[in-house]
Amino acid sequence: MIRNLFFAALVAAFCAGLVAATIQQFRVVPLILHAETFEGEAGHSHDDAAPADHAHAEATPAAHDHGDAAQWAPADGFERTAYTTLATMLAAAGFALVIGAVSMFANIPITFANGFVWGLAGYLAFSLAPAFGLPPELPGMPAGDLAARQLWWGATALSTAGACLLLAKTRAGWAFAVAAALVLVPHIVGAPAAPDEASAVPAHLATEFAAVTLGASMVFWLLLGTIFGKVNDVLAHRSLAQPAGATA
Amino acid sequence: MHEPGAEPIVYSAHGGCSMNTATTTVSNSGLSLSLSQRLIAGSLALMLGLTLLVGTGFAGDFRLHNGAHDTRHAMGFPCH
Repeated sequence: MIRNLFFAALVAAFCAGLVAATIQQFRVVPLILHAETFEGEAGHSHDDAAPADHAHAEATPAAHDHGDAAQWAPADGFERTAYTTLATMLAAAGFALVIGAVSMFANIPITFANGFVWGLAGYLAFSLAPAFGLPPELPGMPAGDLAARQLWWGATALSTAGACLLLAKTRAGWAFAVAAALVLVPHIVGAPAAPDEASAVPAHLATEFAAVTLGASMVFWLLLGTIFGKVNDVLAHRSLAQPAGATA
Repeated sequence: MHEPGAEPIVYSAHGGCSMNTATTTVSNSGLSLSLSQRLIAGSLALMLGLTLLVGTGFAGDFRLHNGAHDTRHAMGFPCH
């Protein structure tokens, strides 16, 4: 059964991750590369763009890594594409295993019939709700403290996912109230604000990036949930068919 | 038990939306797992899944950051 869970999660992640990586290469990465050409143009903006500068101030253990003048990074072209594709597939596997784990804990199997809803919930929790407070960022855009944003991102995803799960388990009146609170509280608390400074990245790049990444994420999540469910159904049919075939 | 092919779909249709009484009995026909099985499978999947997500989306190490850079931006993870 553990094998089935991992198999279904990885098949779904492979398929959905491949589609997501393809959309990224054609629509998302060109915007990132375009935005990177503006990095360092505005006198102050390169400070925001370099993760090393944030790390120097707070995280001493990593400081020596960032101190090297030449940080390793995949070379533009095939190498960068390969790394991005690999990272997207690994992230997809991570998301698939997490929703697979949730389905185990909650005892709500992911099936072809409800996989779309699982995907929609994943999109709400891991993409749309975090983006509501932390809009998808292009390199070179001003942003608040990284650790604070990561914390808010994680807490918002967890809280929104909790709301979806609660409503999947019960539709009692109190559940709607609690779910509404879980969805709203992160936004009432508020995401770490970006410093109020000019960005060298043109606004039309940023708006296109936000729309494209949210769209690509939705495609990814709906595919992930649906394929996950389909594979689960196929595995369940097989395991049910085997004992029947043995006796009859 | 007589329609092995149909039952998982029936179970699934109810399992996702409403819940409880009917689903547990149907699930016993072959799909369901014991609590301990679910906890073990879920824990393993959660640990591996979170490791992958932290590694690709949240890691501070510059190699992981730079390797997964475009993915982090594309997936909406805080990056810089």
